[in-house]
Formats: sequence, structure tokens, C-alpha cells
Amino acid sequence: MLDSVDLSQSLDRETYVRDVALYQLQLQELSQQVRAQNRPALVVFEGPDSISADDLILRITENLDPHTCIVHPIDDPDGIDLAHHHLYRFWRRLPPRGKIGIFDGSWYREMLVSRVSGHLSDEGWARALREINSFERQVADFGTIVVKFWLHASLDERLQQDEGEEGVLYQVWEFPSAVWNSPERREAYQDAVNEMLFKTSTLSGSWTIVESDDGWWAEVKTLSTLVETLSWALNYQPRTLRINPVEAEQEAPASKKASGKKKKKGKK
Amino acid sequence: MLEKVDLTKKLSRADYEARLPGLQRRLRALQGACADHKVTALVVFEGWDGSGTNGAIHALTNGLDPRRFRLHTTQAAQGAEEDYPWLRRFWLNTPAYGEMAIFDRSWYRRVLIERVEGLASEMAWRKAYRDINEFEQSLADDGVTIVKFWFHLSQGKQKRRAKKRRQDSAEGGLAHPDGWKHHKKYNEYLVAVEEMLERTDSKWGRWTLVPATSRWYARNLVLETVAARLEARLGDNRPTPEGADDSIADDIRKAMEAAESIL
Repeated sequence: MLDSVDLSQSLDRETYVRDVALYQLQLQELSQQVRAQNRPALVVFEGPDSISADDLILRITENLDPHTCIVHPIDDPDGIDLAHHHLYRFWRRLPPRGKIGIFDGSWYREMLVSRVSGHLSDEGWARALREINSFERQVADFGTIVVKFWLHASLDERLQQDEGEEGVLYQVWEFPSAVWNSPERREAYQDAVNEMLFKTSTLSGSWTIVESDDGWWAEVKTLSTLVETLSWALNYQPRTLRINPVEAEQEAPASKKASGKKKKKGKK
Repeated sequence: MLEKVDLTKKLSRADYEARLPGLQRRLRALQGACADHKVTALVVFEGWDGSGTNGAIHALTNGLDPRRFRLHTTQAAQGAEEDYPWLRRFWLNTPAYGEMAIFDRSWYRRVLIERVEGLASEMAWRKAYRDINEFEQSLADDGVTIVKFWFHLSQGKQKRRAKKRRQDSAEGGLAHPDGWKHHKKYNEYLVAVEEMLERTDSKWGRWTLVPATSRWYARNLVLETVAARLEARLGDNRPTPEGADDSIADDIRKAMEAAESIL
């Protein structure tokens, strides 16, 4: 699955600025629809540690009404979460009706790490996949809109991103470079990810692979996928979808005038 | 399935009271061992109105260390609970490793009262069997020992108990206010109960059918069952028994096996 991903795609500055502005406007509208229709939405970012989802999440949330979304950074479990089933902490953090829950890291993390490092038997791996599918099915059956992003980048790109950190050559997941440099390990990783993506792309929630070599491309792809999925699931076309940004700019002053008039009327 | 339950099973109050202290000591010791060895237990009480689940829960918890068990009473979902998938509120009450969670009514509400009284749509309760099985399987695979009790009563006995409760104002205050209403639908509930037992009896979550005609017999059976399940799970780590009356314990174990083998 990952082999066939075209990682060479990129965006120029002009397109990037235009698209981000457009999709953020649409996302604002759609998030209000999530509230109005009282539907929960679940957005998952997953991928190797070396690819950061920070910017992708920031592009989503930066212009959203903070009432409409909750972001959960997922690190190692602690406290009460450690004393329970591994899905307990995600049941706990599910978004309620009318909110978008964004997960930076997710229920896939632990199982992939233990699989690649060889701590998870075939049986445990099958069980983890089954439990995750059951969890996502129940969440989707409730009416939750589930969007899952898998961040993928070429090894060269990951190397570049990591070079800033001293002494770290490859830091994919949590493996020391020695482990990562062994071809078998890398193969195990590829196999595990491919199988996981294949077996957990279900009716309840399918994966979107985000080509992350080019940061701008990744941001726009995330935004556009989210807009499309929400728009389809909510059966709502954002108004701005039909207007191109240049027209939108021209329209903006007009709407300001209109609201100004209303205010004046209100005063009288 | 339920027709195979022997409702004539009896235990005298004197016999029960003679055994109770020993049983409770045994459970207390087991609870300590469970905490040490991270053995987790989830005990579900379901049964007819007036079948004596409350008394049995009390008998079970009476000797336990209150820091290591939680009792959860299940009522209709309300407020924020309705903003999430239906099993979430039960997930939040799952026991921490080494502890025991006791559910006085549970997720089975959905396929019993909510089904019969029309509080859940047909699609919702039909889907619930699968949700429940997967939920229990996830917990069991994670090492949780699941013990489920169904307290069975005949229609006649339930009627007599309901009548008595209505007369007795002290008990009436405690009794389920809809008890009489539910009793009138005994046969509708019977269908729901049978289907529930059939569809949710799994190798990781076996139902134990409790003949509840004699409350002493029922309580004794509950305590014995929980103790036996915990001992089985603890294996070599189980605490050494102290001065138990073996002949009676054997009889009880046989009775318990008879009750379990019906399923």
C-alpha cells in the first residue's frame, strides 16, 4: 500500500495560500454544522514519530471556534489509564455530540510499536486489530464521523527532519538507529503498517494517506479531505465551496456593510 | 434455558448464617490475593424484580475491603451520558487491574428493560448483543474475570413477593417503583431474558443461573461462585483456606456446577 504512494507531490506558495484560506473558511462553516446537527466527529493523525502532525493540526484548529474542537495529544498512558484496558483512555476521550475530537497519536500507536519491536505475538496483533475495529464500529454506529490520516514520508525526508537532533540518525517510532538500520526491522515495519492500514480501512473509518515530504501539500491534503468528508457526512455544502477566493474577497466588504446597517437599525 | 433451573433449591437461614462468616473470610483473603497478583474481576447482577439481587450484593460486599471494589448501580442514561456511544459509561466503570467492579444491573438493561418497554429502538437492542459480546471479550482478553448472575424466579413467586412488598411500606420504598408494572409483562420479559442468555453466554462471559426462590440459597451460591472463579483464576497464588467445612462446601460446589451446566 505504502509503496504505491507518490511522494513527489508538492505545492507552490500561491496555491498553498489560496487553498488554505478557502478550506479554512469551509471548515469554519462545517464545524458549525457539526454543532447544529449534534454529530460528533473524530479525526486521527497517526504515523511514525519522525513525522510531526503539529502543523496539520494547527491548520485545522487555528481558525476554528475553540468550542467546536478538542485536541488530545497521545503519549504513553499514565495514571488511571495504565490500570485499564488499552482502549479505556480512548473511550474516555471520545468527543461528545456536537464536537470534533482530534487525536495526535491514537489507539494504533501502542500496537504498532510493540509489533515492530517484536513484543506482540500474531495472536495479540489479531486481537488488537479486532478490538480496534469493534471500537471504531461502535463509535461510527453512534453517528460519529471518523476521519483517519496516515502520515507517510520517504526515508530521506525523515532523515532530513531528524538531523536537527544531535546524535539521532533515524528516529522512526521509538527505535534507536541501530535497530532501524537493520533491513529486517524495516521490512517488519512496512509489513505491519501495510497490514494495519488494510485491515482497519473499514466502512466505519477508512485511512487517508498523507504524503508528507512536502509540508504544504500535506496541510492542504489534510484540510481538503476533512472538508470533503464532513461535507458528505453532514450532507451540507459549505457556501464558500462555490465561490473562488477572489470573489470572496470582493464580497467581504459588502457583507460588512450589511451587518453595519443591521446594527444601526438595532440602535433605533 | 430457564425452564431447566431447579427453583425448588433451598437452604435454611440457619445453615446460611453458619456458612456466611467463613465465606466472607474466604472472599476477603481472595480479594487481597487478587490485588497482589493483579487479578481483576467484574461481577454482574441481573434478575427479576424482587429476586433478591440487592441482598446478595450486600452479602458479597459485606466482608470485602471497600478500597478495592466499586459498586455501580445502573439506571437509564442521562445528561452527558447520552452524548456518547452507549457502552462508554460502562467502559468508564470497568475495574482497574487488581480490583473488583460489581454492577447492580448493567449493560444488559438495553436488551431487557429498554427492549421490552420500548425505550430502545429494535435496531439499537439487536445491535447491542454484538456490542456487548465484543465489549466483554475485550475485557476478558485483557485478563478480567467476568461473572454474570441471572436471578431466576417463577411468575407465581414474583407475584407473591411483589404483593408483599407493596404491603410492606418499609420495603416498598426500596422496591423498584415499576416492579408491579414489569411483573404484568412477565412473559414478554421472559422472551427477552431467554434471548439474552442465549446470545451473550460466551466462553469468556458465562452466565450463572441462580434459583432465587430461597434467598439464602441464592446468596450462598453467589458467594461460592465468585470465590470459586477467583480461586480458579489465581491458581497457585490462591490463599490457603482456613478451617472450612468441606462436606458442605462440596455439596454447594456440586449444586453450583448443576446450575452452570444448564447453559
